[in-house]
Amino acid sequence: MEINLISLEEIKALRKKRDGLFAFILGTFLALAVFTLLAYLLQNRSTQSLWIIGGTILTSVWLIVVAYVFLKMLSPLCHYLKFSQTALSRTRRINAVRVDSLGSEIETFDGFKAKLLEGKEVDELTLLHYRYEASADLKLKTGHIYEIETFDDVIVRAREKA
Amino acid sequence: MKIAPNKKDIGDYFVTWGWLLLLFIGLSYVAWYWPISTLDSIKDYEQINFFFESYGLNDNSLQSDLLADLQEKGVVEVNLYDYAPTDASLTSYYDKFGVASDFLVLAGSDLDAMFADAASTSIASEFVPFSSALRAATMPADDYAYYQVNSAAYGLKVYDASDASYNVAHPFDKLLEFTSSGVTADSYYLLLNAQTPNFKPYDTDSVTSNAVEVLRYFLAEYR
Repeated sequence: MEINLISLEEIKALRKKRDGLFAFILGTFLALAVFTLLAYLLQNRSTQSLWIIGGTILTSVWLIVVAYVFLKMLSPLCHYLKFSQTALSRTRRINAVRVDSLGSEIETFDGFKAKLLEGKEVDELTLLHYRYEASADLKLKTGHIYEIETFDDVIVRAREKA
Repeated sequence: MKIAPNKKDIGDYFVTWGWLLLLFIGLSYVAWYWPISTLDSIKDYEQINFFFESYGLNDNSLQSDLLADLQEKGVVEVNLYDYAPTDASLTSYYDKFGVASDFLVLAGSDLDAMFADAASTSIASEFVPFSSALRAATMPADDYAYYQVNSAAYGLKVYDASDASYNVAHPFDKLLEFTSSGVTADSYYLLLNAQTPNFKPYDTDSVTSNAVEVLRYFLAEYR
């Protein structure tokens, strides 16, 4: 069984998600701009309070949502995309590793969230710590031996050794 | 990489960035309130203002009567600013309200000080003179006395400190209290402020004739 965490297909999917988020931000911005234009065209002294309240609510919600998209979605995605592109273009290490534990703790590494994997290098019994992207469905079994390909200690690919 | 929002991430976001979210709400309110309230603010050509030097208002209906009369002409606000001639802060009140008022009722002694340099055209240019055309348009009978500067009538006398018969013929004291015990009596004059845009066609910069209408009403009401 082989698991590809970082691959050309994955990079393509990340780009598609990134473009989708940019399109969401641009689309909602244009919708807000249209609302603002309508407000300035239609408002008058008797309706100004309604427009101010409505505009404040919509603008606040838009800013809050956009800030969430930037901070929680777009930023880690772009960091992981950049890391993935670098990883595929550089020399990667391959080790045969017996998996000791798949960590449940999440840490931020290079701008994206990562989980820890602990294992021992099969030949030299060196204790190894690897990271992998936190939302990845890494179905590795503890005690089994895998050939793990990494870049900067982040797992690119894992394949179970017979 | 899964990026779909989940409850934990959203909760963390509100806890970590709560101050920023409050800032967003505040900024959004300012961004909407300021331009819209500026757009909808009452313009100079939509209001008529009076600045009175007097010892009190005797008639409180002028404001509401004028507003009712002028609403169809686009006037949305009529303001009366009334300060005692003896008020120590009168100058600052004049700077704040008087310079933007269409009509000014000022004491003769103050006019003497204002027009002390009669050769100067700057002070005269701040007021609309009571020209013969303006008088004909606003007065059924021109039996008023005027404050003259360089042969031009800049102030219409509304109270004569030394001639009671003038005050009987022109009872502006129905509106204003011109005397106070312990204070030397002074004559008072009505001036038309050229800085406001409501004296068309008697002031070249004006855009409405609302103040001319008000002058006609005002003079008819108190005679």
